[in-house]
Amino acid sequence: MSMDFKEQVYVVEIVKGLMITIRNLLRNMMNMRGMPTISYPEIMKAVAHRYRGRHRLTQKEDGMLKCTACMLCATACPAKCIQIEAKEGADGEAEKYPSLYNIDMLECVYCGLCVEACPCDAIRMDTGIHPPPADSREKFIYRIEDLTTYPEIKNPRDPV
Amino acid sequence: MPKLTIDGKEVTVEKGQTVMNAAEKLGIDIPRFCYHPNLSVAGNCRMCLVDIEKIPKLLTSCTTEAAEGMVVHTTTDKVKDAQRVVLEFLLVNHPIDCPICDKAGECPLQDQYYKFSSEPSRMEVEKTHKPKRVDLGPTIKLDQERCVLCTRCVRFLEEFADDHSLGTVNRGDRTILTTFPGQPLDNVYSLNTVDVCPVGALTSKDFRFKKRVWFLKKTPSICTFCATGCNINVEHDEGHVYRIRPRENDGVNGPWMCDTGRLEYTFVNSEDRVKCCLVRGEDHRQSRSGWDEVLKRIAEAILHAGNRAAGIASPRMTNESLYEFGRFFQMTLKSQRFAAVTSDIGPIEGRRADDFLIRADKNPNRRGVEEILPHFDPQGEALQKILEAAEAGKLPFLLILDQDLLSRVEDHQRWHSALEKVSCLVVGSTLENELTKMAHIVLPLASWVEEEGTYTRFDGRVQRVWRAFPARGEARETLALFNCVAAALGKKTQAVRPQAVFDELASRIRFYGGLSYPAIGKDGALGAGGETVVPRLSYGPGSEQPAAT
Repeated sequence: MSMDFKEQVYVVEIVKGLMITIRNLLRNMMNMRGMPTISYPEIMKAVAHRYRGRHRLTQKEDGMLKCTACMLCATACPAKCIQIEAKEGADGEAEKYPSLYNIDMLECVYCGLCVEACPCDAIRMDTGIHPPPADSREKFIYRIEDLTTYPEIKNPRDPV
Repeated sequence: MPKLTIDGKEVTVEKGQTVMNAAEKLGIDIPRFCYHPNLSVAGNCRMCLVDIEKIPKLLTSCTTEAAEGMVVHTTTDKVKDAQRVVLEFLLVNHPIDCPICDKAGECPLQDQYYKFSSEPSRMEVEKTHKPKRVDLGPTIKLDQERCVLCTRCVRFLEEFADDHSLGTVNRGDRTILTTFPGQPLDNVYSLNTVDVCPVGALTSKDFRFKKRVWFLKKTPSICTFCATGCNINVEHDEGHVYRIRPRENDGVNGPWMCDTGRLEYTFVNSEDRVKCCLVRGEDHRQSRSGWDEVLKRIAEAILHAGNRAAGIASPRMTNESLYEFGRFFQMTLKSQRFAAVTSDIGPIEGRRADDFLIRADKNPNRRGVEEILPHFDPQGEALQKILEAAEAGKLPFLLILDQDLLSRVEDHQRWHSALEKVSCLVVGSTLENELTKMAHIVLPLASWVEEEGTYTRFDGRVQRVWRAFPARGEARETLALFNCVAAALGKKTQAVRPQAVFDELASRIRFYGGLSYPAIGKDGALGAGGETVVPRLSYGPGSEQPAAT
């Protein structure tokens, strides 16, 4: 489509475009609270209740992991990012427990199937944390120690 | 020959066969826990109930003899009801701890629950609790809560292993499976009880908690730890062997095998494997090297040695490797100095042998050596000549493919000092041992689960092994070795597919005449003049009284 003379000059069109910017500037100056941007990281947006954040391994009251190393999470995992090694507990302890539970966060696709598969409510994704960056591949492999340390969860999700 | 009708289909069976046998012949699946085709009949689980016309009550098909004119129904509402109720009874005190049970995934109780019941428990009282981690012996752990008291394990031990150490005690829901106090279940066939257990009550200590069964891949193979050559499945995942279990073959081992054969696999995963080529330097220390460089050195040594080069093969090698070995020395090197030691491994004293599955001869392919090597060297006196030449310091090159050579030969010291005088000693080995430490060059070889080929059983049955996964590290298959060396010598080489080698072998050696890989298949096939030798593999008529249950 060919442009007419007014459009070919551009000046009118530039002013028309700038009017939108100026209108928004003035509106936000009048009403600072209604601004859609937030001052991250001083201000954080609340994550949605169903947000799938970094995993955590839940513990029993005595501090032992709820996980029985049944490997249903590793079976359900489409990214094959969960590695578990099972050990036999001493008498009086859990019969089977994970001596190693690694999640490779670089491979994880945050689908949440591990949480759905777990028969013991041993793994949850309700920490609300987006996994922080790291500078080596090893640091992206989260071990039991990493998966059991997380900030206080204000809004824990119901067990699946 | 009674003729009966099951679910509208007519079938004729031999006299003495049960209704269950007749149904199996028709391909009708009747659920069962206590019945095992190779054991005596106990009839205690009540899962195989069927409806027979003109008989008011349901009958257990495993104990009812098929009779002329019987009309049997296996899928009526009455039968389905009974199956559901029997399962409910079996599950009354079952802990249903499938997530931590090793049997989950291959458990008949789990499978049949999903197939015939799938109903939640109606029990309101607490389940009976029993010890869950009973140490039965060196190989087995027992969970008494999971046990459904089918007594398959008791019957197996009594009928095949002549071991009366397992039994059930107490009554009602307090019945438990146990051994005599202070007397562990220590039997060389004990792990068969884990196989026959239809629930997760008996678990192998070796496999316990190592892997969930649905991750395992099965590769058919044969056991190479004695001359019996039991058919096995190698169960593995990601290049790691997790367990060895028998593969049913009524011409060899039935569904059974010994514990030694099941537990010897660990060397495949071991850290003692030879991982790369090793070359002994000027300072007498072995250092890593690559295949190309090593093959060049071997070729140089062989060119220097000419037809004085010698080789020792092993009765652990496949038929194909033995044939290529013989051809390499006779045709390529024009040497007559090659042999294999077929004595047994290790000291004779204390070696187990019985009239069931364990043979004193621990070589899986002695028959293969005896059939194949004479084709190239009819005199068969090469071994003594090799030893004498080595002792005299006149052996420039010796290739040993038998990692157990030093424990095979009787005059160990004599061989040891003779081998030290060999100018170039090349040892192909899977594991690091005394022999590899003496070698100038060590070649890493694949283990039997990483190779393809055939073995010849002592009775003449030729059996195949399949490759479960590629050889670990830089290890190569023995069969490929001769071709690599021939190529390094600048010879024209042929393809070394095991099947092609076997076809050639079958056309040249009368014993293997007419055999081929498709003919051998999974069950093996007899060579010329072979005659099947099998022990009693199932408990049939003519055996002693059935076990008390």
